[in-house]
Amino acid sequence: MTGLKKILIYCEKLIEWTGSIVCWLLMALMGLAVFEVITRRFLGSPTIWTFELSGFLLAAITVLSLAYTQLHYGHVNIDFLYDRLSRRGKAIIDIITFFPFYLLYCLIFIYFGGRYAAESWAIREAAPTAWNPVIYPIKALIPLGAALLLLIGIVQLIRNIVIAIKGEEL
Amino acid sequence: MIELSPQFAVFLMFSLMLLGLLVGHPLAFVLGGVGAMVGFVGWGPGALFMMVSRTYSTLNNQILIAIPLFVLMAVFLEKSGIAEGLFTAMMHLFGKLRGGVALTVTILSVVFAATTGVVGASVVSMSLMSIPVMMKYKYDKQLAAGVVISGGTLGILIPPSIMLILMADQSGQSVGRLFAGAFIPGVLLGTLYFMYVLILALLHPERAPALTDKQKGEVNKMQLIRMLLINFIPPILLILGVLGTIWLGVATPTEASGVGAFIAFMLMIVYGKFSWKTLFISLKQALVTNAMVMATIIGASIFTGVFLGLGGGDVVTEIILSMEGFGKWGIFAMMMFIIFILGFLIDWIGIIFISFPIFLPIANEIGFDPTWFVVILAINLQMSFLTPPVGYSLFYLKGSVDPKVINLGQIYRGIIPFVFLQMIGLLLCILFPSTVTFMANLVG
Repeated sequence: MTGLKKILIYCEKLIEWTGSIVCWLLMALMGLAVFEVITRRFLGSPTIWTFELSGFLLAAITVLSLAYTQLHYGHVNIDFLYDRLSRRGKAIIDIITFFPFYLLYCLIFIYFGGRYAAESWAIREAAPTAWNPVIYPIKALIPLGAALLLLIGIVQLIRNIVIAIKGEEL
Repeated sequence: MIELSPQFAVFLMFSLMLLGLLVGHPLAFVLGGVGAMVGFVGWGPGALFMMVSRTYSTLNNQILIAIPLFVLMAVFLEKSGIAEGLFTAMMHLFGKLRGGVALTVTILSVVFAATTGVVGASVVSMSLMSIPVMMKYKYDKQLAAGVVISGGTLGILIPPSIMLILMADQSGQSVGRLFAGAFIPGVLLGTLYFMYVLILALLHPERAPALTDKQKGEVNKMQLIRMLLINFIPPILLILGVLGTIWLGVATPTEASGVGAFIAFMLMIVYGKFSWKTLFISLKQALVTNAMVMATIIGASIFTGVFLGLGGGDVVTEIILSMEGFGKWGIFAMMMFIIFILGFLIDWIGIIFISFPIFLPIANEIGFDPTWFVVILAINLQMSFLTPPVGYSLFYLKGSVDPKVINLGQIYRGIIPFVFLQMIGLLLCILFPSTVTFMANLVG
């Protein structure tokens, strides 16, 4: 059991670490918006890339923080019935609902998102704009983010299974 | 692939969704999961591929960039401690008045609503700040819960609001117009709450007592003025700056939100609250809120894509048009009713995605002003946040207060008068459309 526990903690640390890194991109996004205002409004010389880069940042911030948010149970839910259950009851419900909802949400983005990114990657797709940036790495972030989300979901699933069986936290 | 009749698809999707939500699974995954399940069975994998590719354009949508930036602005402002300072200052100002603390909460909510745009954040911070004070001075628990929830919920309506940003994106209207249109209705609701507390405190002083000098502590006039200025001017300038530049068309919402976040960051430094640790905590907090909102947007767009693709839109349209006999106001009432009912189940993101593509063409067809219609929906939606049993604001308060201090039953009872006040506000905005269109037309 201690081996399993170590692996779970290691995975949680990995996800915590992604959040610690990705959150700084918010500062970059803010900086970029300010930079855009200065160059466009005050210096009168807008750049061709800030606009698109902000979009890429939003995509990266969002998909890479889904798992971190789940780690801290930050995804909004309705808990007025759920809260009345015992810890064990919650664990059992979480195990059941994992498959039709959570798992499916992840798998769709891993499978179809993966195919979508692969198609883009195969042709080294670039945006048809003046800046003309490559966009396949951004598209590849979708299945990556979903895989991280699945990882933390499985970690929590295993913890819940242990609680459901043994009645106590691992 | 199985042939699903549109009626059956609607029934299936809503019952699966209800099931998932009631057992407490996160909304984002329930919406996405149900969409995927039903879509896969009734429509085939091709449709899902299409929807995932659509997610990509949602993810780097230029309008939605304002969401994380406004969230960031709110978090920085919260950490700057300005709200607490203003709370203390205003408590001294209104303290001798009956119901003074509750009145302070209401005013503060209107001011800070304009800087958050996220319901959870404003309800939680308002409750942490004011509930202990109100309990200490023996305020009625139901009243205390009611003012905090209703005031905190205004954050979603009074611009800059991330709900209005998503509504602008989905309705094709400019963010500036919607921000302008929602301004007067938001302030109107705040005024109604204020008057209600004032009257209640006059009639029942024991429910909302005045503070004695001993209770609120001695502060001389100069100190009070100084406290007010220090804590009142910055948020007002920030709000006017952000809204003003959007309204005047000087800045796009993205630019305004970015600069707003930057100014809030600077305020945090100026007010001496900056530390790397605080910054790190703020960023992580904003990260979670943004991910929560965006995950739900993604889930809702899959759900809605499948729902509309399987003919669910036609089924709902038929239900709405069955009211045609009662004229355009019959249709209008039906649409409002549907939003109100949906509000019991899913949050604003889901409702916007599901209802807008169906409702907006109908509203257009029967000749409602599009800005007015969207703002009315926004008011109705924020009402759904605080209607028991499932109102998200109620749970935010419940989550931030010890149940021994205020329990769920007291929260439910406390909010009822405010729901009635909201209905009055909504009715006023329906009867007098200029409450919405006046400001919106000024912006153009």
